[in-house]
Formats: sequence, structure tokens, C-alpha cells
Amino acid sequence: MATTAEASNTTTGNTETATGKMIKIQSNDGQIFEVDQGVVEQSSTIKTLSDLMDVGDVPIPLPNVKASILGPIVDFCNHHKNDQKPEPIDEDDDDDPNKDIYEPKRSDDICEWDLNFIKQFTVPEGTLFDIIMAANYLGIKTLLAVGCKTIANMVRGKSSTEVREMFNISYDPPGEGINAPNAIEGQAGTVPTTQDANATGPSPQPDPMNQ
Amino acid sequence: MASSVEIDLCPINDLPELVLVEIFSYLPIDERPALEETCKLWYNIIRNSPSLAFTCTIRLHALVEESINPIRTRLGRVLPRWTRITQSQSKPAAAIDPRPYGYIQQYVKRFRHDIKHLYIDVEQHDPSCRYVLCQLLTLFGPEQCSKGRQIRTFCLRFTTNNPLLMKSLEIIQALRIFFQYDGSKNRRESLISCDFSGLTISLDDDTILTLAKHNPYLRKLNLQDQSLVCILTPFCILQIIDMLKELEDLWIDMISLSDEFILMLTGNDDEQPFIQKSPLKHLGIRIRREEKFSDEIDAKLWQKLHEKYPHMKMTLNFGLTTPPNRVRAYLNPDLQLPVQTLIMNSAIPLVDELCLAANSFGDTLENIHICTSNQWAELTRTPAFNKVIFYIAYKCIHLRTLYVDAALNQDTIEDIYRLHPHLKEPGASKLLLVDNPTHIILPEDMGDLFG
Repeated sequence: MATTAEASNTTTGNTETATGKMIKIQSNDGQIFEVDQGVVEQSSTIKTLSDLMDVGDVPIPLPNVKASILGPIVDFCNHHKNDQKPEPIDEDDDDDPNKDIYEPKRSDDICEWDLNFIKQFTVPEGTLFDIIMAANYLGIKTLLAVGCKTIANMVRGKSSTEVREMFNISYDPPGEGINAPNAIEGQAGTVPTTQDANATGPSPQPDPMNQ
Repeated sequence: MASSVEIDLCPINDLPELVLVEIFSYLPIDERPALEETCKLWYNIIRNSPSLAFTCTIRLHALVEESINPIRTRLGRVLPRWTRITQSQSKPAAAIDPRPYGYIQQYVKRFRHDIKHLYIDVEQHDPSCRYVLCQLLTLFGPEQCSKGRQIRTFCLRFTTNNPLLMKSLEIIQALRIFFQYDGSKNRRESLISCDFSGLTISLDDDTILTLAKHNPYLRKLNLQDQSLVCILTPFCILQIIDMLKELEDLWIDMISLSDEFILMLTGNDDEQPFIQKSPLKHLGIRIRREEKFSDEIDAKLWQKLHEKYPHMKMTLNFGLTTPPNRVRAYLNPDLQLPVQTLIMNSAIPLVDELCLAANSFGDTLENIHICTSNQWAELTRTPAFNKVIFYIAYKCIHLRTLYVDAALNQDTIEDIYRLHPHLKEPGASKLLLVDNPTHIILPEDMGDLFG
């Protein structure tokens, strides 16, 4: 409910109806989807682009998403647009009192609709990864979480061999296995761990106050 | 990007590393060794990503070494394999064997400065698990964590019961070391949320005072442990309120509360006009059989609390053994308790009490949980019980969840859903046609519980 109210607030000034103005988005293979403000709100990328370009009737191009993936994503957002929004959380702000610090991360809380939704995408066809990629690119956190939880549930309790088979990962032993971790840790610098500041908290770590 | 690792047709490793980190973050630490062995990329992420360590879910299961397969089918190292055992199976030897938990210990040791949210589940009947738990907690003490830590959320749960009612003093001692880490100088080093509702040992005043003293920025504190008796004194609670100026959410036993507690919260307008009022938003109170010996309830005090904290919500949790007259005393409308959640554990049918609750808290009640025992389940299956459940659903206009573990009539359930259609949503209600009692009371325990 809050989303529609908000949407109408922001749009009453320049557009016609209270349901919010429609925005067109275009997949990389040229298909155009028309979405309303409730959908736009869920994707930080589309929202930024639409604010930035102030598009009239020109569709926003999304060069990283194809129509067969974008279509279901629009459905997903349409289904979730009236969901209660979580309190806006600024992930970087450690002092934000509303940060959702109280609940451990769990992956068994995917709702039924989402479970059925994600079932149409599979590992062998690679579509499950496509949808996760797209959710990541479009900045749709709820969908990204559903995708990641689904994969987490798939690997839970599996041995490394099973996981490799499941995802077609070629056998690539880390050094001599965990018997020789130093060989790998020597190259630790190659692993980008700080570039992800937007999702992980304040960098650099640790806090200078601690030293 | 992940594609630096040369793998053909492996779309999962084309995902951005951030996404892989998110995937792994849903898996507890004990699931991760297998993932590490999958490929270099995963190994590197799991070993080296501090952001993956921000949320740390640790499960200590009782494990026993698998005796199978002495024949080496494959070249390479042969590590011992471990299987879970249940509480009923006894271990071959009760000796402490921390080997299966080596990975967890190393992981925590490596990232002890990065962890922000720490959740530990322990099968505490197992001596090895208890031993490892103490080791882990000590890792975060002031001595071993001299470079600073940033744990904000801490939750410790015992996942098996404690039939021997062990006091587990070694765990209490380790908890104290954990709490001795001084977060009072830097807001980012102080715990924000602490949940002990899953403990089956009694927390004592000393431990909790250590916690409060070193973590003055605590906002949420749940002290309702599952031990049979609460040994926290009113004095301790007063101290806590005094020290924790930012406390928003407190869960305690009624037995630890005193009139002074309310006086302290409400303050006195005339004497101390500048005293900073605590931002308490939620107060969870559990009332158990200790209540038998309590004094009269001072209605005026509670009214005053409500006046001073008009936005505060309460959770009332009545234990199985609370005397009915005390239940009714707290449901008294004169107290004006802003009860948002009502949890009623009861061995005997509680029609009158529920009726009273509906009349007293109709405006504020949002969640109702009614848990019965196997003993008198049949007695609850009466028209009066059906009527009162419907009545409470009718009176509570803001009802969001309704759990009843005793059977109801089909008609009653349909009527309730007609009143509150949103209760049909998954998780919002449990309305049954057959009994599914929460509590099982063995005949031999009857005397203990109610005597």
C-alpha cells in the first residue's frame, strides 16, 4: 500500500493518473516491457536510470538482460509490488539503529510463490544464473536473495564432488588441497575483497579506532 | 571478476564474486569445508573474504568418528569423517575430542576481528561441543582479541535439552570472558543485541552485570533463558536499566522485576527533570510459577509506566505452571498493560482468562499463541473454548497472528478467517481440527511442576 501511495505522490506533479506513470524498458534483444512505478521502485538500477534520463516515451535500454529473463522479472516485481517494504537499510551505516541486526540469515524462508517462480529456472540450462545475474544487475535485492538462497539450499549437505558435478565446475584443487593453504594464501591479494564496499560495510577494515 | 579463473561452461563461476559471497553467507560454517574443496575460486573467497565472515552462524553438533572404510580407494589424504549422533545414542567414549571442530575454530580465529553477527547453536549434552564452545567464546575475550572486535549481535542457543540440569559453570565462565571485552569506549565495539532465550542454564547476576558494564550501547537484551528457575535478582535488573541508556527491547522474568524497576523507568518529574528517559519500546515479561509467592501488583505503577511510555509494547508469556489467579491478576484491565503479544502456556482450559484478555487488551493485541498440554486437551475441546477463541479474534481488531494448538470446530475456524482474511496467509495462523499439544507432561513430573 505504501508503495502506491508513495508512487502517486512523486508523480502527481507531472503525470496523469494516481496509479503512477508507466515506464518502458527494453531488453537487449529488443523487446519492450511497460512497467509501473511499483515495479520501478524495486529495481535500483531502473529507478536510477529513469530518474536520470527523465524519459518520455523512449524505452530504457537494459543491455545486460534478455527478454526471456526480463519478462519473468517483471512478473516477479509485479507480484511483490504491494509487499510491505522493509525499513530502508543503509548497509554501510554501522550506527543505524534500524539495521536488521536481530535475525540470522536463513535460506529456508522463501515464500511459496517465490519457490514456484524460481523453479522455472534451472542449473543445466543456466537460466538460474541468468536470473541471478539480472537481479544483481538490476539491483532487485529480494529476487537476488531468492536466487542465492536457492543455490545455497542446493549445495547444503553436499560433498565437494557432488557440488562440482552439479554446477559443472572442473576439478581444480586449491594448491595441494587444504594441506597446503599457504600456497594460496600467498596470492590472497588477487582476491578482490575491498571493492564491494557497497554491500559489506565500511572499508577499509578494520576500524582505525581499533589500532 | 570470476572469469579470471579459466573454466569453460561454468556459469556459476561467472557470477560476480559478491553474489557468490551472498550465496555462501546463507550456509553455516560447518557446511563450508566441502565448498572450499570444490575449486580454487571458492576456496579463495571462503578463506579470504572478511565480508563473508560478517555473519557467522556456527553449529556445534555432537559428532562421532566414522569407523568405516579402512581401504583407501583414492590417493591423497584420508581425513577422518564424522557423523552426527543423537542425544539418545551414547558415544563410545565420553572423552573430549575437539578434532571435528578444528575447521570452525580456525575460521573463527582467523576472522575474529571481522565478525559482526555471531550465532552459535550447541548440542550442549556433548562434552566436546561444550569444550569447543568455551574455546570459541574465549577467543573473543579481551586477552585474545586485543586487536579489537566488532560483534554487534550475539545469540547463543542450546539445541538439545539439559536433562541433568547441569549448571555448566565452564560455559558461564567462558561467557564472562566473552563479555569482559570492553566495548564501552567505542560504540562500534559494543554489542547491540544479545539473545539468551535458547539457553538451558541459568544466567547469574555477575555475568549479566559484566555484559551490561562493557556493552553500554545494548539495544536488545533477552534474558528469558530456558532454565527452570530464573536467578537474576531485581537488583541486577535495576543496575542494567541504569547502565544501558539505549535499551529498546528487554525480555525478562517477572520475578526479576520490582516496583523500583518501574519507578526507575518512569522517573520522577519533580525531582529529576533532566534525567534521560530510556527509549524502551518493548518489554517482554515471562510469568512462571515463582509468581505464587509474589506480592500484590501495584496497578498505579503500571498505569504510570503506560503514561510515560505510550508507544511501548509488551509481550506477556505465561508459563505452564503459573497459578490461574496470578494469570488473571496480570490480565486485569486496570493495569492498562499495552500487550501486543500474548503467549499462554496452560495445562488446564483457560476460557475465563482468554475472555478477560480479550476485554483488557483488545485494542493492542496483535499476536496470540495458545499452547496446551497433552493432559487435558480433551477438556479444551468445548463449545465454550471455541466461543472464546472467536471472541478474542473478534475483539482484537489488529490481530496479525493466531496460534492455537488445541482442536477447534470447522465453523469457528471459518468464522475467524472471515473476520481476519489475512490470517490465511502462510505463517499467520495455526488453527487446527485435531489437537497438537505443545507440551507433553509425564505423569511423574506432575508433582514437580504443580506441587
